[in-house]
Amino acid sequence: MLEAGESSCFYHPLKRAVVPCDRCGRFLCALCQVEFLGQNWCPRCIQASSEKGQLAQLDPSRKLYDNLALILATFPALIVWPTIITAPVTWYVVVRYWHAPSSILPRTKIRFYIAALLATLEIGAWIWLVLFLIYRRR
Amino acid sequence: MTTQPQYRKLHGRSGIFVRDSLWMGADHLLSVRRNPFSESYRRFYFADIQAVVVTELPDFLTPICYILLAVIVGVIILGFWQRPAWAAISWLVSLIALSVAARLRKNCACYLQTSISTEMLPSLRRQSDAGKAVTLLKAEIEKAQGSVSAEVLASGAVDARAARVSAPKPAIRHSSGQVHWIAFSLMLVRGAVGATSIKGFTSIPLGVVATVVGTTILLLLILGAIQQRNSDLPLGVRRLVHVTLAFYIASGLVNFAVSIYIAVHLGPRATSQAMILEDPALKIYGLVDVIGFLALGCVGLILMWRHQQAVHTPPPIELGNGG
Repeated sequence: MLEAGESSCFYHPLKRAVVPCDRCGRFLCALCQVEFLGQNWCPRCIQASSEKGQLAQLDPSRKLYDNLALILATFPALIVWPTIITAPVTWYVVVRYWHAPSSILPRTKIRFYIAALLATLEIGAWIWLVLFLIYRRR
Repeated sequence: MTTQPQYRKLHGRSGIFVRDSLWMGADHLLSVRRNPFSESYRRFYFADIQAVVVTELPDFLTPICYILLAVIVGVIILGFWQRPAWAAISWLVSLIALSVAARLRKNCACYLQTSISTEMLPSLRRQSDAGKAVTLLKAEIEKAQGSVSAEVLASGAVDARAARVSAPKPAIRHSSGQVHWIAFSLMLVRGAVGATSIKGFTSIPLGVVATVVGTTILLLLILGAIQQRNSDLPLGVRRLVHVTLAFYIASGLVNFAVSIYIAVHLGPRATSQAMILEDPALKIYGLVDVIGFLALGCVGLILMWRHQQAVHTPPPIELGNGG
């Protein structure tokens, strides 16, 4: 219990603080103190970091946005016409999720590069086709 | 702050669209299941692992791999000089089937035991991979937990834990192998019927007999494969049943392929049944089929006879010294 002149825990005001959180600096009691990666963390920092995908050590799963972009860029191209929609969507996925946490295993961004290249080619092909049809009609 | 742990891949991988793999971290083992859009992780800390159990399983796909390999080689040798396009398609289809069969091949199951759960490691499907992975794992577990000396093991200090960890073995039951006897005998009959067809004796009743016998063999082999599980039948007999099943399936596939080949090869020129039956591809297939059935039937009967002899032979009488 807290005695006069002692600091209290941020989460439990009646308990004595024993250590500050190495992430947010809040004072923590023995109950709230979590030893993690050689530091003292509070439960809220662990939860927040985990939700942001910053703690690979705790993540139960990860989305593979680079694979998603590559699939969007390649498979619809087999039937050609869906690429008018999927090529811009591919570019959106590449830009939106470029910095999103990917696999916790060793992985490069090569899939993103290939997807962006293919999507650019598809968009370019569609623009060329539209211009070709316009000029041909004139 | 993003903390990215370092992982080293262990041997073994499974699945085609959903893949499993194992990775070794600084203080834990990571089991990864990956589909095209996401990955899910299971972590097993070295300090928590009590045992790694590798169980041997019957291997169904290895014989199929060998047969497909033989088909590929056969197509290369026989096909390319006559019908390159047809041979190339057959070769490609066989190659894809071989790679899928090789990827799905499984001859063991690996389990990881902790104090609160037993988890399967799906990526360790082959004994060679499991052996290499277990060696690396053992070293890391010993680093985390310390090694158990031979004296401690001998004193039985870890017996309780070992008894809890080891999976209960199913009881072995006696099997007379009646289904196997009938199946292998019928294979000789099927071989004999096939041989008469090669010699040119074909008729509707003979065809009906061949079909009925063939179907009966297939059903008996499936029944035998189910019955022989956890039985005292020798490993050779059990494996032969799997090989025969694989041969039966491959024979059906090759028969189909040969029929298509003859249809493409002869086309509208095929005016009579005799012309089709005289085709060399059909003759070669028929010969291989007959030899396969006769050989597998003979080997099966010999193995069953040896098993029966071993079962019926009384154990030797032990003579005491004092008599």
